[in-house]
Amino acid sequence: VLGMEMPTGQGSSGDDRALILCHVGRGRTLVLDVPEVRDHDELVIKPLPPTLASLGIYGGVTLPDNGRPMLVLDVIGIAEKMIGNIDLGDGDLSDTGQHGGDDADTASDWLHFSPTGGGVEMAVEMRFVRRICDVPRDMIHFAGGQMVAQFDDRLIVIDAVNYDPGDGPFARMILVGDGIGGASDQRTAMLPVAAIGSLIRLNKAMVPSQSKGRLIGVTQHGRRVIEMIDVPTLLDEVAALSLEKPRAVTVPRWVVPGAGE
Amino acid sequence: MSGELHLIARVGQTWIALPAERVEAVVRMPEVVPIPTAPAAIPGLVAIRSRLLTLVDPAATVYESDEPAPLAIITSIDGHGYAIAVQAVDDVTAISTPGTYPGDLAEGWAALDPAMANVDGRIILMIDLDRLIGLAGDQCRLAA
Repeated sequence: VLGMEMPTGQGSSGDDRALILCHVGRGRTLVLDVPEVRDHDELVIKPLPPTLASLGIYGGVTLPDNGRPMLVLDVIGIAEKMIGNIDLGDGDLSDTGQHGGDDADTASDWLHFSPTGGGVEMAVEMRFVRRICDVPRDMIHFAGGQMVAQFDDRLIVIDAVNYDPGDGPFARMILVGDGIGGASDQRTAMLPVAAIGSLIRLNKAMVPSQSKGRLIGVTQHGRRVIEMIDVPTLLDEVAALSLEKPRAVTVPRWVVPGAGE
Repeated sequence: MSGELHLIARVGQTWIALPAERVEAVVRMPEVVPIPTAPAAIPGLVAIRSRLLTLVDPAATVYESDEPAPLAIITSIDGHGYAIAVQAVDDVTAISTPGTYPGDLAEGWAALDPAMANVDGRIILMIDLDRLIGLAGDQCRLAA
């Protein structure tokens, strides 16, 4: 986002890498992937000068005790810049693709995107989205009769028919998972995308798909027709074909006095 | 000599004049904290006497030079503090009869539409600070 190199050297080892969960309202959470968390502090945030406001990713400036100016990130601004408009309004969901009479309680956040190869736009429910990642082209292989990506020391199936990663150095993917098997061993798949859209509120109470399988159905958002992906079903199919390398599983070891391990 | 007082400073190889009443101080360039994604016209933030200032590099704004700027001219607009990076500061001079530049200014300088003064045989561009900082802000918008 910031166009900065990942720091290397003392005090910036990979062990310090962290995810910062930012609750931005309306039950939505955005996550910042940062190389290191150093400290927390109470700061007086000063307004951003107008000259910098247009950058869209900073929310203010501050001067901590060490006397070194510090920029305050605008998390929502970053998300809007990177993945599109984020609706944080409250109440009126009438223009968010719901059918008449839907109950807002049943609506959820979906990430919509344009698939590679064209066709109807698709959406995946945010609770299944693990990451949006740019996979290096040389980490994508045709193996075992399907396309797979080497990512985070794993082989992850790319879910697309006749997928062509193209000639660019990277291929953009949405990594989805359902958490089954624990955070370190969850079922995952990659969805290749041509372009990431925006976060939208969609309701599941809609016309179901005529074909059984990995689509929940089809809805509309504004004038766009959007196919809603059934991630658990998709992962069921992928798991049956999974090429994931066996992973060492760390199991806590407990010793109960008198009963052994 | 009558006329408004101006601070004469050098940006790259060009001498400029800034209204003295808008200048709060001239200081040695402090440590600059870069602003990721910002254009070269706004190289960073600086802190001077516990005051946060946005650094504006006029040389980069008008594509004049990348010569290091050892001095900063402090000013403020609408309550926001700015440090203007300059290569040198010469004097404070009263300028009474500014004229127009005889010929075509380079594109970068022309965007500032400066008046011209001749001080002791030296051509000096009279810079509107609001316009300079606005132009740097425009480049921020383009970089966003």
